[in-house]
Amino acid sequence: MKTVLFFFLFGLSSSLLAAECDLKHPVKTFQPRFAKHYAINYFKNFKTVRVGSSQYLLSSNSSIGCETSMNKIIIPAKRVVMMSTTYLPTLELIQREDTLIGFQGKQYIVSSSFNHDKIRDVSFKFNPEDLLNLKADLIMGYDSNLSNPAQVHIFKSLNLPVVMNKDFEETSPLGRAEWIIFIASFYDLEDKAQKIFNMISDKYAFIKNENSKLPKRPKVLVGEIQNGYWVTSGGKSDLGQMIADAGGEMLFWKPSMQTQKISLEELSLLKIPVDVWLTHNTWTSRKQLEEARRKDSRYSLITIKNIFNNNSIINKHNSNDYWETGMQRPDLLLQDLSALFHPDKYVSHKLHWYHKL
Amino acid sequence: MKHPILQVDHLSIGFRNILFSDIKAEVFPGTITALMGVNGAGKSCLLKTLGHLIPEKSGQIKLNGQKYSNYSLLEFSKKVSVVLTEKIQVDYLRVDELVSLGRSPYTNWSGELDKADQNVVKQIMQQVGIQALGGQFFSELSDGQKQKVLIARALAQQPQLLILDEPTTYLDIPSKIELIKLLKKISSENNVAVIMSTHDLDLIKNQADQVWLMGSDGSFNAGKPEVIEAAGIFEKHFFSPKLRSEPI
Amino acid sequence: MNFKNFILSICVLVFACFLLAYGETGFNLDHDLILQLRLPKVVVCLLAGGMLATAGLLMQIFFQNPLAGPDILGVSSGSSLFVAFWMMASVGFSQTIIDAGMGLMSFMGAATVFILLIFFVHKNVSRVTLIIIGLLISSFASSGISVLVSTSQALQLKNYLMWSMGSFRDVTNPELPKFIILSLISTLPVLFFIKSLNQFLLSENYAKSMGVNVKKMRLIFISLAALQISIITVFCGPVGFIGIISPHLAKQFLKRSRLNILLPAAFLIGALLAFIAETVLVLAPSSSISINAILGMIGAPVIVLYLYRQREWSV
Repeated sequence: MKTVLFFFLFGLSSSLLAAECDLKHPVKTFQPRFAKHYAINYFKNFKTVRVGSSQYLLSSNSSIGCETSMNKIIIPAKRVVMMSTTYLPTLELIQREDTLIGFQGKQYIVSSSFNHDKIRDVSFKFNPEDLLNLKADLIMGYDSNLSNPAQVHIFKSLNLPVVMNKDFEETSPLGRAEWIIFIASFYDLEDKAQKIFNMISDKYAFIKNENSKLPKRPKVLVGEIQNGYWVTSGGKSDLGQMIADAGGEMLFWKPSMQTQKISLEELSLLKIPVDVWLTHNTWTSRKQLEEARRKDSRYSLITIKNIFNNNSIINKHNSNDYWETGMQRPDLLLQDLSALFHPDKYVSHKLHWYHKL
Repeated sequence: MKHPILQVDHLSIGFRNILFSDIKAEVFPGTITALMGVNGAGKSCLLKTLGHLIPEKSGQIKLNGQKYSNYSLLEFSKKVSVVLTEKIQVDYLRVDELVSLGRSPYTNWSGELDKADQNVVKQIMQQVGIQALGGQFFSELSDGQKQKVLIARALAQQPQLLILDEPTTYLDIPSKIELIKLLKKISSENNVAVIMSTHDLDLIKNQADQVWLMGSDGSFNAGKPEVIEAAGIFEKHFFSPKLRSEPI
Repeated sequence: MNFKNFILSICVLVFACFLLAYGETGFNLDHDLILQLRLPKVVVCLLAGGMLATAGLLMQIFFQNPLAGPDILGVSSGSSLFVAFWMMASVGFSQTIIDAGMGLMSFMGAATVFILLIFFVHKNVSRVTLIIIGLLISSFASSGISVLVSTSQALQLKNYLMWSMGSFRDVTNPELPKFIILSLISTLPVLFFIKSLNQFLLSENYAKSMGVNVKKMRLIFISLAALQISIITVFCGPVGFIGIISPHLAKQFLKRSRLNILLPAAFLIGALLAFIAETVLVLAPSSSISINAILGMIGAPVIVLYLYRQREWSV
């Protein structure tokens, strides 16, 4: 009799568990509009997040008894370690800056919303002891420091809550920006993030549409001389796409995401004047630019009307906010570029990152 | 009475530490001096000191009555030249070019040989018997030929004193005999004093005018070969007591 | 003039003319193109290639070691380490100080390695050991550089990475006169010491017995080689292999060793190698090959072939 009861209870509890952990029938699924590398599935007591081929189980219940190989993350996250500046604007937008307790390369942080005294500097090569010591409940990094199989094994055996972020693999500015919802899911703030993202994407679409009506398409040159070559962005890179969306014509456009090497001879054959030169060099003033141009006479091979650099906002370590907030706010960046290309139309726009040299 | 070209007095030699001390000897022009001693006694060191390649530790050496330190390097190189044991590893250097290098103390900054220099080189190559090798590469010669070429180079400096470190060591017997005859001829024809270290006791005994013997006990003996031999000094330093006592 | 050297000069001239007339945009005689881009490139190839070969030859004679060369004995990397240190340390200084410091640091790096090598030579290490010591100095310097890189900021890092690729194309017209003058200052004096170099061919002791002031000449050779290597390090970045293989190719081609004709031949062959590397870059404009990759493809087999032919090469 006792045995029967035992089996009955056992059977009941395991079927209950199975119901709690039914991974096949999500209540709701979120598929991002632009981002291609993540998706979120919602269940009754938890949600799962897929990033590339990895999946994470996010739950507020630390004792959730699911038999799964997925990494379990307890949410909402309260102690967070992050490896890239591109994740930080999200924390600001959803107002969770105070959860950041560790960062790789604190000197890269430009935003003043973060309290540096409370943030530990962690090394690029994950140090498991260090991370264990931080008692983080979320550690978010990217491919080059997370994909080593030996390390993955160590993380798993130590139960470190490591999560991969693939925003750098997105192929469009809006796709990259949509990772705000991914990060917000670890705070249970998806709705708030979605609203913010809708605002960003609507604004982007509006500006793009406005620009498409403009007849004039200024010639835009990107890059600088490096090692005897003109090094520029690929035409399908974020910048390439945004230049097109901002109503400019990118010179030496190549259908590639990768950085392009253009021979200086090819550059010198460019007989038409360049309307806008976007240099992403370190020059902050006209004087520095002139000094460099005096030293490298090859810059005089091309005629340039306007020169802009993207380093209006830099911190004392010369880290540039363009690579922080700029990546999260393609709407503002597109606004900047549009104002550079069509100053007559965007008279009142105050430039964020770009400034004229 | 001839004046000695080289006078050595209370000389101590060594690279870092003193290897051998209290050397006293004289060398006259046109003579051959054989330097003998067991390995490690300091023969090479003495020859390098006499060749002014390393400094003397104490005592003095006089060349033509003048202390070594009174000569400039260039003046000295016109009086004393050397043939060393160092292996010369240079490809594609022709024999005539190598011998011509011996003229460099006499040439101007460009190192080009004038007519007179070329004649000296030609004459010396003839005397040494290597005139036929002129166009060959030094690296392709036999050991005996190499030794002759190096002697010719040293002679091209037109020295009064020629110092050779073990010139016969790697040669076969006929070449050894030939080389010693050559040195004998040179010393008498050119009135050059020759100092050479060697292990070939029997070959040199009858040709050398004097023998210097660096004993393993730190004693230095100089004298005519027959005198040294009569005193039993060769036996003392070159044959172990055990060998001597054994019946043949 | 030696007939074979005449042929080499013609080859150099042909390459120079080709690279002046032909570029990534094909045969194009545009004024700006030739003056702004191709002329400095051709001059830098000629002088830098020639200087590397000269430095290699000086080192091979000085160390009595046919495998000596700016890269293999660690002189280039010593120079690079000091330059890298300066690049990371000179943040915030004015451009003039940064430029001057680069030259000075580069020279000091090269000279430091030379002094170290001379120390070991005087302790009578074998020729193979010297090469191994040189390689170890190289790897020490590389480790030092990676430590510097790991602690530096993105900006300095980028500048350093750009520079460390090595290029004959980064000397521009305003800088060109400086480069030419420095090159001549470090190379022309070698001509005055050809006689001593010939005397050094046999050995240091033979040179001394022929009246050469060995200590003085040693200082002069080392200073000139260090100067040449540091000039190249500053203006072109680290460039490998030309220094070590040019003297061998010159000897094989001439079948002579006297410096009067070997030195010009090595200089010309060094320049030719630089021209060949540049020509590959011009003919394959969209690829991202670096000159060091091209030179490595030529250089490594040449050294292996040399070692194979010299199987009896004694230690």
